Amino acid sequence: MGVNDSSEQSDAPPSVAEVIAEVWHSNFALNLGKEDAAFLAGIHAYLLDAREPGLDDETLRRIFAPVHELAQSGADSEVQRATLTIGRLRSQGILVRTDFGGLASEGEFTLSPLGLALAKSMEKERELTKRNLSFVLMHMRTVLADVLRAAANADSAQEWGSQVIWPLRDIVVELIRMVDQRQRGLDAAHKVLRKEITELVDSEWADAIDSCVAMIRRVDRTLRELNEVLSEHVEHLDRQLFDLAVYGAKHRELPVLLDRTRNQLLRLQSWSARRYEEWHGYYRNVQVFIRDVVQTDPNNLLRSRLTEQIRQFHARPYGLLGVSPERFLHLRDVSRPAASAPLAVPDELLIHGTLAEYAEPPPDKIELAVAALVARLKEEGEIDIVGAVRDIAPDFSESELFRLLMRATPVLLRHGMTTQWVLEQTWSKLSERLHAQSLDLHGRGRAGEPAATPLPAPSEERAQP
Amino acid sequence: MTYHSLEQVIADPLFARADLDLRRGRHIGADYDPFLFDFLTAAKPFLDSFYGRYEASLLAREEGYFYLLPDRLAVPPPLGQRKLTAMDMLVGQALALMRIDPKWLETNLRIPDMAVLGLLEQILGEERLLRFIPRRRGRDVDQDARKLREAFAFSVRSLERQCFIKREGRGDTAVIRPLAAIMRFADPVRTSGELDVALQSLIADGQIAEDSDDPDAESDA
Repeated sequence: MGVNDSSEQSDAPPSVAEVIAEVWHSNFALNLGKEDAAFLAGIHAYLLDAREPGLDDETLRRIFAPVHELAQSGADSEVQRATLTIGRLRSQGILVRTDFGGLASEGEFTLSPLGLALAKSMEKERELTKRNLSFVLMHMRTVLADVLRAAANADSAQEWGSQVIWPLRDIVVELIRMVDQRQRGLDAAHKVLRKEITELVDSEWADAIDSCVAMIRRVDRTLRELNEVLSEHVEHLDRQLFDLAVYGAKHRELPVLLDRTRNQLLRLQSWSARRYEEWHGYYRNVQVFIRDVVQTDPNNLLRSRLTEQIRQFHARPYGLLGVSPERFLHLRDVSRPAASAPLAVPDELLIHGTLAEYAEPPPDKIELAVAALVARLKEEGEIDIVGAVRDIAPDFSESELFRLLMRATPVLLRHGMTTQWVLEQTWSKLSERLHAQSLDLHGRGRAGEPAATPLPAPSEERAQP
Repeated sequence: MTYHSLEQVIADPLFARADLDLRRGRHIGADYDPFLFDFLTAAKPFLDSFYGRYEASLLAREEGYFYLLPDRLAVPPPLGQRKLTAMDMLVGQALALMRIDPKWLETNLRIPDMAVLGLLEQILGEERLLRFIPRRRGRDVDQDARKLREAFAFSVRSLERQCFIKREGRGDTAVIRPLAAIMRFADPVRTSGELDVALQSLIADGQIAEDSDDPDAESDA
C-alpha cells in the first residue's frame, strides 16, 4: 500500500490517502475521558466473569458507582453522570444494545468489537503478579516441551511448519510479549506507589511511617517472588531452547527463532533483577530516611530551618573545615607565563595582507658563539668543548653559558666525534653554580669521508693499557 | 574484624586506603565505601590516638560517616586545613535540604544538576544568588548564567572530591546523589536554638570558620 498511490483497479488494496479520506468523511471520532475509560474497563471486567454475555441497565449503573466515587464530579448526581457516560459510550459505538439473536427478551448492553479492543488494550497494561507470571511461564514450558517432541519426530516441511516453527514464532513470542506488557504495567504501578508514599510522608510525616514501610515491604516481597519465579522458569526454558538447538540444521529458520526467544527471555530476567535491585535501593533509602530524618526530626522542622539558613547565609557566611588534601610538590616554582606583548602592525601591511620585504633577524650572541666553536673545530681538527667555551665566551653570564653549552654540543657533535666512549669525564667549574663535563671532539673532515683516525671498538679501547 | 592494637590496624590492607582518603579530606560513609566504613568503625579506638598525634580528630557522625578535622588550636595544622567556599556551602546546603525532602526518594535520591540550581534560585532569588559568583559591573544575562553554571559545576566537583556527593551519568543526564555526609551542611540548624549561637558553638569546635576570619581561604582546586 503506497502512501500516495491511487490505484484504479478495484481489487487492489486501498492507498493510505484513500483510507484517510474514507475515515475522515465517515465522521468517526473518539472522545474518551478518564471516567469513560474507567467505566469501560469496569464493564469488561464484569463481562469476563459474568455468566451472561450482556448486562442490563441496572447492572451498568451499579458498575458506574465506584467510577462516580473516584471522579467526585461536581454537582451532577450519580444517576445523571451514569446516563451521560452510558450515552457517550453508545454514541461512539463502544457500548451497543443487542438481543443476542433473540435469546434475550429485552435489549441488553454489551461491548462492541471496538469497546472490546479498547478494554483489552487497557487490561494488557495491568500488573504482573506471581500467579499470572507462573501461569504464562508454565504454559511456555509446556509449548516448548511439545515443540521439542515434534522437532525430534517431524519429517515433512508441513510438520516442521505447524508443530515447531509456528508454535515457536507465534505462541512463545506472544507469551513473552504478554509478560513484557505486564512488566510495563507493574513499572507504572510502582511509579504511582512511590508518588503516593512521597505524598503520604510529606503530609503525615512520622504518622506515615508504618503504612509506608508496609507498602514498600509488600512490593519488595512481590518483586522478590517474581524474580525467583522468573529465575527458576527461565533456567528451565533456556535448557529447552538449548535442546532444541540440536535440530537447528534441519530447518533454516529455527536457529534465528531460538536466538530471538533466548534474547527475549534474558531481557525479561534482566528486567526483573534490575527492578528488584532498584526497589531494594528505594526500600533502603526510605529506611534511612525514616531513621535519619523522620525519627530524628519528628516535628519536621529541619527543612524549614535549613531553608532559612540558606536564605540568611549571605549575612553571615562561613565554611566547613576539613584537612587539606596533599599538594603535589613541584621541583621548582611554577612561574606564570609572560604576558603577551601586543604587536603593532601597520595598516598598509594589513591592507596588502602580505609582507613586502622579509628581513632576516640578526643572529643572537649565543648563535655567534656556536658558529665560532664550529669554526674552531673545523680549523684545528679537534676541540675541548668546555675549554673552548671559556675562551670564546669569557664575559657570558651563568645562564648564557648554560644555554650556549646546551645549543653548541649537539651542533659540534654533527661536525666531530669523540673517542672517549662512556668513560666518566671530569667536571669543570664554569661558575659557582655551573659545572660541566667536557668532551674532546675530533673533526670528521668533509661529509661522507671517514674519520681521520679510525675509532677503536669499546672492547679494544678497554684492552689498551 | 576486631583489632587489639594499633599495629594490627595498620597491618590491615584497608588502612592505607582509609588513611589516604581521610588525609585527602574525604568523608567516608557506608554509602561511599562500606568496607572502609566498617574498617573505620572497628579501628576507631586506635585511630583516635593515631590521628591525635597529627593534631586532628577522627570524627564519627550520627548519620554514619567519618572524617578528619584539624585541631583548632594547632598552628599550623600538621595535616593542613581547608575551608569550603561560599558557593560550595550554598550547593551543599541545597543538597542537604533535598536529601531530607521525601520528593527525592522517588528517584532514589538522584537529583538533576538543574534542580539544585533551581532550588537555590527559588530560595535566594536570582540576583542574590549571582552575588556569590565573581562578575563585572553591569548586567549581562547570558554571561551571568554561564558564570553561575561554571561556579556551580566547580562546587559540585569540589563536593564530589570530598565525598559529600556522588555523580552519576554525563552531560544533560548527569545527576547528583547526596551521600550521608552532606548532612554536615545542616549542622547549624540541628537544634531549635538561635542560628548565631549554633554557629558560635561550631566555630568553637573547629567545625566551621567564618569567611571574615580568613578572607583568602579557597576551595582546594
